[in-house]
Amino acid sequence: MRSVVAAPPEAVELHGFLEWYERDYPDEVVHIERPVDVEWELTALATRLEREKRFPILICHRLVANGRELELPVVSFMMASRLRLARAFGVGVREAGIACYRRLQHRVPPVVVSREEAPVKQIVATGGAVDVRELPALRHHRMDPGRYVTQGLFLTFNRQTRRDNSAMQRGWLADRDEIRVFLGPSTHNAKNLREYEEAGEDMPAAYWVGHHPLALLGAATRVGVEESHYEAAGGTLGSPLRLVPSETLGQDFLVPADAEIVIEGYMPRGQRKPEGPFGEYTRYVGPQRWCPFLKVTAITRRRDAYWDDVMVGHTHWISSLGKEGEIHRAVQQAVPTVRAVHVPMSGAGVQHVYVQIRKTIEGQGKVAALAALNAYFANKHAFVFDEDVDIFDEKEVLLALATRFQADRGLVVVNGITGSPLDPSSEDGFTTCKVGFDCTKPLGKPFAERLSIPQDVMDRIDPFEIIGQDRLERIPVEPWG
Amino acid sequence: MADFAYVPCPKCREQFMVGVEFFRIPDAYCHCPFCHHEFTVGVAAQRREGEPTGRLSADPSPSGR
Repeated sequence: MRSVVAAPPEAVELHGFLEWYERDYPDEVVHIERPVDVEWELTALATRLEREKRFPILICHRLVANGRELELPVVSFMMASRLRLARAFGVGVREAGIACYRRLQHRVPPVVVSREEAPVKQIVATGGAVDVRELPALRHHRMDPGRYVTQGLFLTFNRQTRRDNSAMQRGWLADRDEIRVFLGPSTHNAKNLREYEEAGEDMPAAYWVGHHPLALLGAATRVGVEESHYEAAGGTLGSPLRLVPSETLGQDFLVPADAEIVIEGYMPRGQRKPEGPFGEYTRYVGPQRWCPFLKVTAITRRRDAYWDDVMVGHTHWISSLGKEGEIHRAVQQAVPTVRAVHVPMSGAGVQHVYVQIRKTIEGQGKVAALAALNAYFANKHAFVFDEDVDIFDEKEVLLALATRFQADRGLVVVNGITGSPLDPSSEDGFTTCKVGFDCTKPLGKPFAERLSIPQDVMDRIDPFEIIGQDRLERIPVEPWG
Repeated sequence: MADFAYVPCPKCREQFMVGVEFFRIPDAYCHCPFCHHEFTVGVAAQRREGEPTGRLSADPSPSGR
């Protein structure tokens, strides 16, 4: 594996990031020159790659919608590689969550630049020239009603405080100038909409699509209602986010100058339309909703803009990395000897948490589990292990669960607590049953030793040499082994 | 997951998932993700010719497509 180096400082937007990454890791940026249909084909390719556990950046240059090639290319699968994001942070794969958390603690205020300095103003379409259907957004799954904004940050400003709020919230390109947006009821963007509607006003809003992946990670992190997502993005990016006034929403409605595309508009007060069903991060379909919509007033973009897509319901680390740091901090307050936290993809990137501790007092396993479960409302199952269990290897995790856990001693059950509304097994959509598994060995008692072979023997026995490389490669790989 | 039901589209007969708000809000209408027909759940609940009942389906496995 290559040594880890941080992204160079000049690469603070998507184009710069892609140039840096392709220069240093050319095998991991795949340009697809053959036509790809916007309906399902790229999701199918990503699904096949995911099964192979390979996560290259996919850049599709010829997207086809309704039999016609669209102008702009698509970047997808960028957030699917934990290794890639770790490299961008300049740390090892296991440390990526902590690195994300640490950077979020050092918020960086944005700066405002002129229109001339803003790449996102190179092409401006307003009024009758607006047509969101020309954007190469993808239809990802069978029950989706159409093509969606997925890796778009939905941006609003609080009516009273003017505090910016960006969140990854899906939007269905329903018509030429209409995007139907699902705002979860507990989100800050939904709160902002309620306040505008209570005042009898339409809400100005925008999508910003495409930016440096670390800016996206920071902007998408849930922060306090009085905190700025732009400052959080500057923190993870390690550089101020550059902003520029909008085209149609006023000088004080600031949008990212280095975004690939910005879609401006307003949400008409009190109006709702059907949106969805939609393939959720849980890898299940979420139902159709009665939702507000964005009436689009302008599309601005770079001349060479990429449409940025995230495969919702497939591997991506947008949620997990930020959560790992938060959980680590929460557990550390209760158990100072916490060693590592992993929020794996097997729990849809949020519902499972693996915690590694050095246990010094009996009972700390349960304490760590409760702290992890309480760190974020959607964390559902927390598993706590000793230092010798590699929590990034799920075979080791499950073996420890099988051999170090006894339910009558190590199980913690918290029933009827607020959980993820998207968990298909939640009966009411609000509450869940959270469970902690203390899989640590008891202190002060002998515990059986793991099997081992002397290291010098392991080092000198090479199956390629004994069996032969050709023969060995013809023997089937058995994934269940 | 929040309460939802599978509704059959009266035009193409495919089933899809809708939230319970479509049963509570008088003006709410559904949009079929397969044929893009729009209808209220009252229409979906009407008895369909040749079927024993047209009530909203509780079957969690929508027909294939």
